[in-house]
Amino acid sequence: MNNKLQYEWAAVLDKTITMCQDDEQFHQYSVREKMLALVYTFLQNMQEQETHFLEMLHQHNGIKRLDTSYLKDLKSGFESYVTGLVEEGRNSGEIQGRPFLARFYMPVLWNAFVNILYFWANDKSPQREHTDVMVEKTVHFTFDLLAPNAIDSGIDLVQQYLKLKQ
Amino acid sequence: MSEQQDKIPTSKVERASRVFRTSMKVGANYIKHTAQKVVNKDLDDSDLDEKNAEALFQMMSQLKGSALKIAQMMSMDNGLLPKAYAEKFAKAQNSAMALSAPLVMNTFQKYIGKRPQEVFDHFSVNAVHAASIGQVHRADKDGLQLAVKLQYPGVADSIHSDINLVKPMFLRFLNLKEKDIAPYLEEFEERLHEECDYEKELQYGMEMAQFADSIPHVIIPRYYPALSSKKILTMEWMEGIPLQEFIDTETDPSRRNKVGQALLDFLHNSIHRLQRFHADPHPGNFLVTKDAELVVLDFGCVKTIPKDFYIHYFALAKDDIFNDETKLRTCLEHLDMLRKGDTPEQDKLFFDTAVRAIQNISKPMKSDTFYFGDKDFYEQLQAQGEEIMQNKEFRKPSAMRGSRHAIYLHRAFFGLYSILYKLDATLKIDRHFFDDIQV
Repeated sequence: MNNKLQYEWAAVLDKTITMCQDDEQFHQYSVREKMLALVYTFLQNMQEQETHFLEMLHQHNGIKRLDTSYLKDLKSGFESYVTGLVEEGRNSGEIQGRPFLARFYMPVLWNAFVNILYFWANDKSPQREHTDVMVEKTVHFTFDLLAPNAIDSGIDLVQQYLKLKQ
Repeated sequence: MSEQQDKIPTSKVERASRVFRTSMKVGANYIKHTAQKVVNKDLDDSDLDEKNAEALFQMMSQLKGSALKIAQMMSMDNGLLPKAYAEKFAKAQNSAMALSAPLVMNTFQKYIGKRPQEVFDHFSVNAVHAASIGQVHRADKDGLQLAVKLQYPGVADSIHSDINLVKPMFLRFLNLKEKDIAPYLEEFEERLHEECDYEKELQYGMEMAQFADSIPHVIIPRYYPALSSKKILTMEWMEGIPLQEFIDTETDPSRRNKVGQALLDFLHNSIHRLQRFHADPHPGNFLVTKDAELVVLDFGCVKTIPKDFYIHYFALAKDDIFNDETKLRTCLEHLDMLRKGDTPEQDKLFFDTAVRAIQNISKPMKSDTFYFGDKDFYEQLQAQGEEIMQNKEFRKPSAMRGSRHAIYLHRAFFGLYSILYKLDATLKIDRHFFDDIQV
């Protein structure tokens, strides 16, 4: 049973990635925009079997959210695709490569994504437009964390301090 | 200020905390003020108003969205806020967040069922213009140049909660009870909801376009219902310079008069013939073509006044009304300027004030031509406004009066006159509209 569920989620992601890749516009986007497009398209594809996916998410609401085994295939698909995006972002300078912290990038992005899914499932606004706002804010927030920012100047400062102290 | 206005705080908690902070500030100002008053008995209450208005303004500029709209509306009815803040609000343009390109695509997919590239021959993903509740993109289809307006998600359903958030602040600030201003809040909310409903705007725009056909030198863009929805509005792209630019650069008085006349005729005709009008005539909503014709944009804020209100209101613009006090009183009671239960002192005060205000405001309607660049005219209006604000009687709850329908009518006239003043225009006044008005 669980295998079938896992497969369904992964199938939506596969379809989403294909749709994005086939879109000319998508390739002109920045990494941040690609992430946004990926999430919007994913939600849109989920909409096609709305009741089915809602049921699954509602079954795993509350404390049961911790059990993400039914999303296992989705997770590995998401991770392998988004790893590519992060790599692309590092090359373009949109994302900062940080020796120690970089290992947390994927969990941050994945958790943000799962949060959006649950928000979507509980969104009662017309056309689920609150989810649109959430997606926009969430992706901007996570990508602001990943972009070169105060953390890097902080690390730089500490390093410099230690170096000069020797 | 622009920095503070960078992002719309959308979460309700965040907004609530801002309102709460401001409430605290107003409370603190009040305590400080009372303490000062004990020491210095001459201290005037207007100092307190200033401080509170500043706190209020700080909050409003952070809230953006519909809260800023409410503030702008409060400031247009002169007297509710101290002058300095009224001006600040009037100018506050919210250069709101821009929608990301993927969200633009997503919005199209949701509301039209297709991607913009499938709908149009060409579509600019980046907005060419941002407004308070949406942004404008350029597109073309079958050789037609189009403007496509997209609404920000979540704006429409935050109106009610925005109003409820700022309500206690205003009540406190203006020292009023909720029931005193309930009709006005209802009016605000109704207009704001309409402004967020692009289907309504489409309907008004198409109606106005047909109506304005008969008014010389007024152009209204063509609307495209098939390419529009609740959150997306597609219309003809209009060429022209912004009205403000025309005001700043045009040197030929006859061209300035031509544009002013078109604007005046457009508003007068729609008020008197349709009883429905563009209630937000500020320079940003108009363009001027090469031939000095006036393009009217944005029918988001349109007000319809009931016939009954219309008759009693505009009867006051006729000279003979001042010879018949019974009739005059009937009109004023109808407009909720006078009330049955008033004490003789209240009655005298409100009656005298109303009569003087009417005589001041209706001055341009009394002759065949009027010079709108006349400074004295505005100074008189301003002076009376200040006088009302200074008078403590008018701060009492019982002074919160006047029909709710008058708010947007005044806003329209206020906007109209301030544009005509800047145009320094001398215009023909068509007075035949008043002929048929009979109380």
